[in-house]
Amino acid sequence: MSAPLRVAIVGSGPAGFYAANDLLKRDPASRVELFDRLPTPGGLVRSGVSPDHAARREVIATYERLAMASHRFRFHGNIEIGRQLTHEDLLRCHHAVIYACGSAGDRRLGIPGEDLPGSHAATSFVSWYNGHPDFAAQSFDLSCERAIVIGNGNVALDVARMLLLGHDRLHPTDVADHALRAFAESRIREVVVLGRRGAAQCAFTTPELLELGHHDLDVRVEHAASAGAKPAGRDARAYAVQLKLRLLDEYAARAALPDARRLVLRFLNSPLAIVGRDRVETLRVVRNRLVSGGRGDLVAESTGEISEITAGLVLRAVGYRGLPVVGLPFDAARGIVPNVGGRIVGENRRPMRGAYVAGWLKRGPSGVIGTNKGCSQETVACLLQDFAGDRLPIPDIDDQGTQRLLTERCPDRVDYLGWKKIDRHERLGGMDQQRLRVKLVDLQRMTAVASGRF
Amino acid sequence: MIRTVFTHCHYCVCLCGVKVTVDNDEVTSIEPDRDNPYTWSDFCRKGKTAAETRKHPQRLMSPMKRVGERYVAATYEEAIADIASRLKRIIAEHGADAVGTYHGNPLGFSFAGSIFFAGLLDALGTGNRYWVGSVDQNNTHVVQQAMYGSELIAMPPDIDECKCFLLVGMDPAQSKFGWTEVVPNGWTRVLNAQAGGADVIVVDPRRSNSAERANTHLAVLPGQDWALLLGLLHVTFEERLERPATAVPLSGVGTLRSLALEADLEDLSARCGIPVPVIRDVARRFAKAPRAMCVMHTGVAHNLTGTIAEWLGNALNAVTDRLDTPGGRRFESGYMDLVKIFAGFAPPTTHRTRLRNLPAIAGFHALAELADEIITPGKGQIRAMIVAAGNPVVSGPDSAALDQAFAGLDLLVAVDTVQRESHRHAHWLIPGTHWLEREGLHALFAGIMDKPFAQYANQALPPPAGIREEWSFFTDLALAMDRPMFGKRGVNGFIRATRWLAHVTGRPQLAMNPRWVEWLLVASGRQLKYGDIRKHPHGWLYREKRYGDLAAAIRTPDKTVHCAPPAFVDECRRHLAEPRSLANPEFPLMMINRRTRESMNSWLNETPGLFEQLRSNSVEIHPQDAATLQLEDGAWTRVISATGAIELPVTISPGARPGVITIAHGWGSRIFDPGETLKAQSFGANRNKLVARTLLDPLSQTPAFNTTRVRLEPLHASAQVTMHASTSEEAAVS
Repeated sequence: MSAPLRVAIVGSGPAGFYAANDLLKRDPASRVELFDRLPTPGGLVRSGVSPDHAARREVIATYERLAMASHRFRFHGNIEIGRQLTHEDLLRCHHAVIYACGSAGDRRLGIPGEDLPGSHAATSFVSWYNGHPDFAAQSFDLSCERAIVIGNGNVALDVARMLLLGHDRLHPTDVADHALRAFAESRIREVVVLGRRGAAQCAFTTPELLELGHHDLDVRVEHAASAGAKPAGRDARAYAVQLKLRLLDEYAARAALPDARRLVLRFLNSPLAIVGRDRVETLRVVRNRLVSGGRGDLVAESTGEISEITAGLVLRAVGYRGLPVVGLPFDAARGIVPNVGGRIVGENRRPMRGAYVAGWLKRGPSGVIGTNKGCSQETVACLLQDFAGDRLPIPDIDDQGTQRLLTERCPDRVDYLGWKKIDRHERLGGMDQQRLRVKLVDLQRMTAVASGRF
Repeated sequence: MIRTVFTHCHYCVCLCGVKVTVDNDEVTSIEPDRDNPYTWSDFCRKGKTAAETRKHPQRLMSPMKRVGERYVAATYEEAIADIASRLKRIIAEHGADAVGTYHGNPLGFSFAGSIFFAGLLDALGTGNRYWVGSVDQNNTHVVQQAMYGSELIAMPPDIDECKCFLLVGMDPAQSKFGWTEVVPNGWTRVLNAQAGGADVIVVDPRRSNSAERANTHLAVLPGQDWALLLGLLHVTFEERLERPATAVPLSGVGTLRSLALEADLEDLSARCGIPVPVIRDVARRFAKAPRAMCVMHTGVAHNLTGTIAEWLGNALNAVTDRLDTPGGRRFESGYMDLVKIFAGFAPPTTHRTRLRNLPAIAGFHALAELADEIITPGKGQIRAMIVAAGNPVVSGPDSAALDQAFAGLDLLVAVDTVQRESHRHAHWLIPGTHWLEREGLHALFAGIMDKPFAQYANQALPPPAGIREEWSFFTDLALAMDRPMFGKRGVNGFIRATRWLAHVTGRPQLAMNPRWVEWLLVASGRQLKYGDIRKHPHGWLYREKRYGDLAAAIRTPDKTVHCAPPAFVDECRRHLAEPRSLANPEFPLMMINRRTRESMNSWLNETPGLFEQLRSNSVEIHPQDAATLQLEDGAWTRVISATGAIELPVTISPGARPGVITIAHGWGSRIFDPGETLKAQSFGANRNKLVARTLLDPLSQTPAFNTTRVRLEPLHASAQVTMHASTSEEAAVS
C-alpha cells in the first residue's frame, strides 16, 4: 500500500476549489495543499465578479467550508509558484500538481493607438474596482463625458454598468474604496458598448440584459439588425437569441430618458484605431455588415463606412488570455497549457508526470463559474487514475519537511486562519460604513492583518 | 446548552428561512434567517409563534382510544394492532374502497408524511382518496393537464422583470403571492416593479389591501372573472394585439379566436360588471406591455367557473407570448424532472366515484362528494376513514353533512397534533408532529419555486417523547396489515430487512427512511448532489434562473400548448348561452372569501400568540347594504343560505362591493381536549356550513365557496347576549 496521495493545487479560484473538493471526496486519504499568489482565496470570484452581483461570490465560501471540514486541506496564500517555490519543489513534496491559475492576461485589439493613455484592458479595470492588489495603484481617468467599451460579452456589460451606476448604488457593495472614490467623482454620462457583429450574435446573457432595465439608465440600441421575433421554436439556442433580440427591441422602443446616464449598445461596428495626441481622444470605427462565413455562421465584413466617436476612455473587453507558467509548456495561440483531459502534455503529446491543469488555463477563458466543476472533475479523474496506476512520481519530502520548506521559503505566507482574519477585518470595516465589506488592497497590510500584527 | 438551528417555516408556501434558538429542549426564539438568500423576507407571526403551536395545551401526546364518550391513552402497538385488524376486517368484508382517506394542507408541507401516506394508500388499495386540493387548487391541475399535458406543470411568475401585472382573484398583500407557487417577498417585489413603472391591475370584487395599491382595481362580480378574461381576449383578437409565441408552439388559437370574437363584448361586460371601455383599456395595456403576466388565485379557483377562468387567463398569457418569457409565467425545471418521474412512477388513477361517477383530479376525488359516499348505503360505501393532518368538516362544503356522516363511520382514525372539529367522532387519535420537530428536503417544491432554490430543513427539536413521525406510523400500519407499502410487492420485506439490520448494528440510519426517497429523487435529476444541498443550511440558490425550459417539459402528444381544449370551450359556450344571473329575492347577497395573513385555513386560528387583537372572522359588508339592513358595525347577524346558517358580528367596510359580503374561512373549528379537562375551544364561525356540497364546477369539482348566495337577518338583542356569552366562555379557555 503506497503512502496517501498528496496534491498541490495552484490557484484558488473556482477551478482550484472544485478540484480540491473533488479530490478530498473521491480519495478519502488524500491531502490537498492549495496555493495562491494572493493572501485571499477566490480568484475571479473575488476579483472578477461584479460588486453589484455579490451573491455570486457566495459559491466559493461553501467550497472553502467543505474543504476545511475534511481536515486534509491546507490553504497557503501569498505564495507565488515559480518565484518562492518552483514546480520541481512542489513535486518533491507532492505526488502531483494541478495548475488552476486561470487566464490573467487579456487579449489585445491589435489596432493603432491601443497603448495611448486612456486605453485599457477591461480586465485591468475590473481587477482595479474589485481591489486586486496588483491593480490598486492604477488609475483610470473618469473625467471625460463618454467611455467606450469594445466587446459584446458579459464583462463588457459589467464594466459599462459599473461606469454608470454611480456612487450611491455602489456604496453598499464591496467595490474597492479607491474605485468608489473615483466613481463618486466620475463625469462619465455615456458609455458606448461596441459589437463587431449584430445583436443576434452578441454573447450577453438574457439576465444580464434584463438587469440593465432595473437601473435608471437610458439604454439605446443602435444597428441591432434584429430580424424581429420569429415563430415559436423548440431550439433552446434559437430561443435564447430571440429573447435577447426582443429585449433589445424593447430598449430601442423605450422613450429616451434625457436626464439619465446613457448606455448605448452599438452593433455592427469594429474599431479601427484609437486616435489622440497624448491620450485617447476619439475612436475610429467602421460600419460592418453580416455575410455568411461559409460554415453556416455569420461574420462581420467592413462596409468601408468610417466614423469617429469622441471618448476619453476606451476599455477593450474582448476576452481574457492565459499567461505562460514558468516550467510548463504553453500553447501561445490558444493561451492555454497543452493538455489531454487535464494531463499536461509536452511537445510530442507525451504527458508530463505529475503535472495537471484545470479551469481556464486548461480549456481557455469561457463558461460560467459552474462550468469549471466538470472541468476540474475530469482532471481529478485522470490524476486518480494515474495514482492508481503508479504513474505518479513519489515525493521525497514528507509532510513535516514540506511545512519546514514553506516556513523557510515563504515567511509571509497566509494560511486559512490568516485569510479568515482578513475576511473578518474587511467585514467589520464594512459594517461601520454600512457596506458589505471594505476590501484590503495592500499586500503588506493584508499580511499584517493576517498575522494579527494589526 | 444553546443551539441555533436553521430551517424554513412550513406553514405556507413563502417557506421563510428561520433561525431557531433552542436552549435545552426549549425553543427560546424564532427569527428570520437573514442568511437565507431567498426566502426570509416575508417572515410573519405564524413563524414567530410556531413554538407556541408546538406546545399547544391540548396537544395529543400519545395515541388516544375512544371508549364510549371518553378517550383513554394507549400505546402505538395497541393503536396499530386495533386499527389494522379493524381495517382488515372492513376490507375483507366490503373491499378496499370501503376505506376512505383524506389529507389536509399541513401534510403537504411534510415531504416524508405525504410520500409515505401515498405509500399507505397504495398499500390499502383504495380508490376513495380525498384531499384538500379538491376544495382549493383543482382547477389549476385540470388546466395544466389539458393545456400542457401534465397536472404538475406549474409556472411561477417572473415578477422582477414584469411590466404589467394582471392579478385576478388574489390578495398578495395578505397571501404574499403564495398559493401554488413559491414567490418569497412576492408582493414587495410587485410594488418594487410598480415603483419602476410597472402597471398593476387587480381584479377582485373586494377592495383589498392589494387593490388599494393597484394602478387599476376592477371590482368584478363574484364568479364572473371568466367573462372579463374572455372580454380581454376578445379585444386582444379584435384589435390584433396578439404576439407570436416565442418559447413554445401553440395550437387551437383559431378556435379560441372564434370563441372570443363570437362573444358579445357588451354581454360579457354586463356579466362581469366591468364597463366595455375599461375592458378595452386593460386589454390594450396588458397586450402592449413589453413584459406581462396574468395570474389567477383562489378568488378564481373557488367558483363554479374556476376552471374556464383559469384556462382563459392562461390562454391570454399564451397568445400574448407570456409563457416562459421574461416577466411572464416562467417554467422552473428544478433539479429533477418531477413531471416525468410522476408520469412513470405513479400513472394516473382511473378510479371513479361510486355515486356521481366523477374521475379523480391529481389522483384524488372531491371532498364535496365524501359525505354522500359515506352515508349512501350500497356496495362500495365508505365505512372507515383515515384523516391525516386534515380538517375536512371545516375545509369542505356543507360542514354539517360531513360531520353527520363521520358520526356514522365504523372507524375514524385522525392523525394530527390536536383533536380538531373533524376529529369529533374519531375512534382513534394518533399524535402528529410539528415542523420544528421534523427534518428533510421537500423535493416536490422544486418546480414551484420562482428561482432555482433548495433548502434542507433541519430539525430544531425531536418530537415529544413517545411520539412517532407520521411517516413511521403509516409504514407501521401497512406492515401490521400485511399489505404492501407503495402497492409494490417486496417493499415490506425490504423495510423489515433494513429495520432488522439497523437493530442488530445499532445504527438507526440503516432502516429505510424518507431521506432515502429524497436522495433518490435528487440523484435522479443528475443536477445536484443531495449531500451538497444538506451542506447549505441557509438554503442554496443553485443556479441562475433561466428561460426556455418549458418547450421540452410539455407533455401534450403534439408537444404544443393547447389553447382551446374542447371540454373548456364547450363549458364556456354553455355559460355564454345561459341568461345573466337574475336577482334572487330570497338570497339577495353573494358571499365571498378572503385571505388573512395570520390565518392558514383552519390550521392556526386557535394558536396562542396569533390574533392578539381580534380573534374571529366577521361579516364584512358594504355601508350601503348595512344601511338597508339597518346593521351597525359590530352588531351580530345571522347569515343564512340554502344549506345552513351561522352567526357572526358585522364589520362595515367600504371595501366590499355592494351586494357582496366577505367572510373568511377556517374559523369556527373546535379544538377538543380528549383528556376532557378543558372545554372545547373555538373562535369565529365556520362559513363553509353555508356552502352547498352539490353545486360544483363540473370540470374541477370545486364548490362555490366564493359565490354562495345568502341573506342576513339581524339577531335579537337576547340572542346576541347568549352568543357573546358562549363565545367568551369558550375564548376564556385559551
